[in-house]
Amino acid sequence: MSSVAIPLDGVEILPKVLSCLLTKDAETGRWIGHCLDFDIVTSGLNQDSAWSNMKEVVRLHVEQCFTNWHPGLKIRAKQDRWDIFESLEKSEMPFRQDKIEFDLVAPAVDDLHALWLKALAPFEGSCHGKIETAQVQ
Amino acid sequence: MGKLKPLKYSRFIHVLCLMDAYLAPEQHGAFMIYQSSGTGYFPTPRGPQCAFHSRGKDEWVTVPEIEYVLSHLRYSAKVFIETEAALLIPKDTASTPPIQPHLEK
Repeated sequence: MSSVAIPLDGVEILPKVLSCLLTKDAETGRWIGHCLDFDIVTSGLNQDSAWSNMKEVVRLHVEQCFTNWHPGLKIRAKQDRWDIFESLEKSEMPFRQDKIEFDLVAPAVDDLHALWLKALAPFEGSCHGKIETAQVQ
Repeated sequence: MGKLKPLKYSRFIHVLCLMDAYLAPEQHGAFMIYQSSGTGYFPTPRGPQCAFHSRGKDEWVTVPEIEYVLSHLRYSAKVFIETEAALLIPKDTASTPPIQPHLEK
């Protein structure tokens, strides 16, 4: 899966490729889809449905959290899951890939950090030509 | 303390509601779950939340999915387990309506 990397708060929160694992759950027999970049988990009755369900859940989660809850995009899967992914990747097994497009809506203006503007200026007639030294913070 | 186990979808949703989670309307099979229903008629979408995929009421919700929801909503697994254990609705009829009393003629 691929997407545009969008920097926010100095952190690239949407990687260009999302790393996912598809595994079979021994207890229920369902296939589990796990998006490691955001630690999102879903399942399906077979591998295909787990894959399509995961795409829907990842898209909804990213879109909603992008607008309303950025911490939801900073949760990553545990290292042991990444280790499994990397070992499978090195073994050059056949893999699935699909494009996923996000409809990202920026947070409301009142959610952004407030910016304050402060200016100091000497009284009129007392600046002695040094008004350019007034501080702006 | 016990450990998490797979639950039928209807029972899983029931436990989340008892823990004050708010389930948003479904969009193409997926929906958002928010940590708290908050106050008033509508919850605020700001705060811990996660997306989940709906399924048939008797289909399973796996342990990794339960862990994912609890982690993102910042819910305690212990509280979830205890709430589930305290649920009075029998496990095999969790989604069926209560039995109506027989009316004598």
